[in-house]
Amino acid sequence: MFKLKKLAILFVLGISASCVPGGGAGKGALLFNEMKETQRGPTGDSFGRSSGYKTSEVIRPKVMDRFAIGNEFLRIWGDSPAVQNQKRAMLKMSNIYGGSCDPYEAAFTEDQTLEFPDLFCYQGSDSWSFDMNSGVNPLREGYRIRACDSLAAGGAINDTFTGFGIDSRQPLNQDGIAKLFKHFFPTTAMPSNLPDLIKTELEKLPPETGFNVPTQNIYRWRDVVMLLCIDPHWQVI
Amino acid sequence: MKDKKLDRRSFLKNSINLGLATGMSSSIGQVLALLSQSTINNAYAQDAGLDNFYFGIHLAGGPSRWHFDQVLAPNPGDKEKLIFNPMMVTKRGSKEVGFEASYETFEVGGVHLPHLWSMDVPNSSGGHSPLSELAKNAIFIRGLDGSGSHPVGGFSQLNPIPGSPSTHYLATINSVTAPISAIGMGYYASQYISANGTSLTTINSIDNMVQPFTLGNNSRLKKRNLYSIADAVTNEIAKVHHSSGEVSRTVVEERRKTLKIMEKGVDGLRDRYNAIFAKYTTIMKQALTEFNMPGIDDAPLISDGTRAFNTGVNGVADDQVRVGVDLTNLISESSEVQELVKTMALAELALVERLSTSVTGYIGALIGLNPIQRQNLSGEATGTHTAIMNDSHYEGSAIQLYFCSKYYKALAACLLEFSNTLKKIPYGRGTMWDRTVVHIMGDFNRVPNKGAQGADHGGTGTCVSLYSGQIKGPIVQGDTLLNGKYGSWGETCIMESLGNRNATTRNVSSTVAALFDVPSPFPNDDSFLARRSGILVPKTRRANNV
Repeated sequence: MFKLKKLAILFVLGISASCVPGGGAGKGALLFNEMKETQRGPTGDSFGRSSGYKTSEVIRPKVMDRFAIGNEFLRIWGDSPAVQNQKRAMLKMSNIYGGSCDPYEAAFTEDQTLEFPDLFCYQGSDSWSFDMNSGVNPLREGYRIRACDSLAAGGAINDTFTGFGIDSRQPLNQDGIAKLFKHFFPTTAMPSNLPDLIKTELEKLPPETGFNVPTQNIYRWRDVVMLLCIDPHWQVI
Repeated sequence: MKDKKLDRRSFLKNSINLGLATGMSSSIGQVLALLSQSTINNAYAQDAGLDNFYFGIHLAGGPSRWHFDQVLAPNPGDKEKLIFNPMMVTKRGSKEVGFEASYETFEVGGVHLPHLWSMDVPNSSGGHSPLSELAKNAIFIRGLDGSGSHPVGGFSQLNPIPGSPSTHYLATINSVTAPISAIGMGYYASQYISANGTSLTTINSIDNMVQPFTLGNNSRLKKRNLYSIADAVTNEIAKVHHSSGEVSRTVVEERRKTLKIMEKGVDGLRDRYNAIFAKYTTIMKQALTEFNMPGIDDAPLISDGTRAFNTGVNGVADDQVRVGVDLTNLISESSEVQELVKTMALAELALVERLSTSVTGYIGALIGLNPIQRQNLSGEATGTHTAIMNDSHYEGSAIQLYFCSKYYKALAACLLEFSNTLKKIPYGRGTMWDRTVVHIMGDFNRVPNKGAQGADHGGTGTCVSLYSGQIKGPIVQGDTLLNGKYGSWGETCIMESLGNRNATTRNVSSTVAALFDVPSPFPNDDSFLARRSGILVPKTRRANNV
């Protein structure tokens, strides 16, 4: 009933606005009401994220910048040439991982040569403009997943297994998976069903051809580390 | 009973809209045009829930816009009242040595646009199309009160108030399918602020676009097809991690999108990009190198060493093109509008392939010219240069008219091609073009400098143009001063219809929001377009020079 009354008023105002050159007060009122009526809220997404401009309630994920994530990779995977290469690649990507140019990484050595001439600082003035927090997006995630994938596929993982007392020639076991989880998430309590879930799902996969049993097991352990590494949570500050 | 109520309601609403349209339009033809447009726009409303698409192009440096989308005299009789300045010219006279020109317009749908809009531009079929086709989907917004400094003026185009949701975010609000929320190229595109925690992805090349999603042959992810297990593991960790809630949902969603792209593979994207790149290269090169623009490049334009031929570079104000040099010989096969082809190709690829719903790029200077010989006021040779920079403080009126016209012709030809491509892609009940907004912006417009031998930063006369299948154009909005300091150059003025305020880029943001049918980040700053029963109509009266 109220809506009908409102529309009737709008109708009258609409007629009067259309008859008055330049509109006038009636036209202004009509336009205001019309705008309110036509503006609808965003639908949000499947996760039920923000359904409007409630910016104060929105938290942009704070994630590690290029320095922090490079060091975290080093901690997780251990120091090796392969990991150092990944860290170095991350340091060059301010635009992906965040973290503006740091004047100290631009330092000259005593003989006046640049210490790290290929770092991002020397790619132009843009390198100074990036926030510490890049946020999370598919580009960053793509590079991060590739880095995990590269290390998981390579030999860098072997030292990590040794350090945890895991015999990677043996089949997956829940204790070993729990140890690896703790390594990635030192301050997070592991979901109790996670080791079983990982073990069961990986064992469902068909065996890789051309590998003997111990090697199959090594690769399964690598896949465990891969799954933990590509999880997006450990990079969240 | 319910149906009856709805019928009455929709009848009343249609009556209101008809009344409004009648009151605001100057001819029955326009009313009929608006009503025919309602078919498209009603379809738009019924298709709510589909993606919107945004393509912003930033004209880096802020070139003068009088020759293209700064419409100085939109209404019949406006042109005769303009207070002339030699910089604000759109068409040459017949003089071959030296320079004479005037402000000439071309009528499209009852609106008087700069002379350039009378041209035909090359298309991908090897023929030409009238540029007026693009104008039919355009709104030109002028007289914006903006910043006159680099790069703040550029930033404020996309981010009118730092901290508020940015204009290039608006297309992503209802995005349901695109894996990458927003893509930005270059420095000016980075002012992205969303209201839902997503970030802009910087992509400056096709390599940037495909490299992060390219997996090698030894990839465990690819070899063992770990995608679904990864999702299951992450869902469990999300339940216990300290970031659980909004943050966790965001990072999980972004990772999910990433794995989806990787699983699908990106092998074909590079080939597709190369094909699109080649298409726009051909169009841009032809637009620059062909000579078919009446009153621009259809006759020699020979320097007589006067101020109109100023071509100061590096802050040198007193250099001119050497006497006897013909400007029409200066564009070569290697000439190009910097970054134009790359920006067009990346945008078309990203939007059409649905990698993202928001792409913002930039274009730079006109480069690769045959060396322009310079002389000083005494006639002594002072060197050469091979580019016309957009920040044209010391480029005289002959230089600006000739090179800017070529520059904008190349841009407009690419835009028309882009729109025609999207028109061929069915989407919802219309086409992809119906749900796309192209936003042309610069750091600012320019104001003629003292003596009209170049043009300085004209922040207080900023203009933008928007293009979309939803716009039944051409529409010109925004009042400007008739008697500005250096003539009727497009300076902002207070608009009664905006609540006695100057128009700003906040109003532009509201207009883009209206096109996408989403709330404006600036509800106190009116849109220039309003949707009434699906019909997009100008919200204020026609633009005037006051």
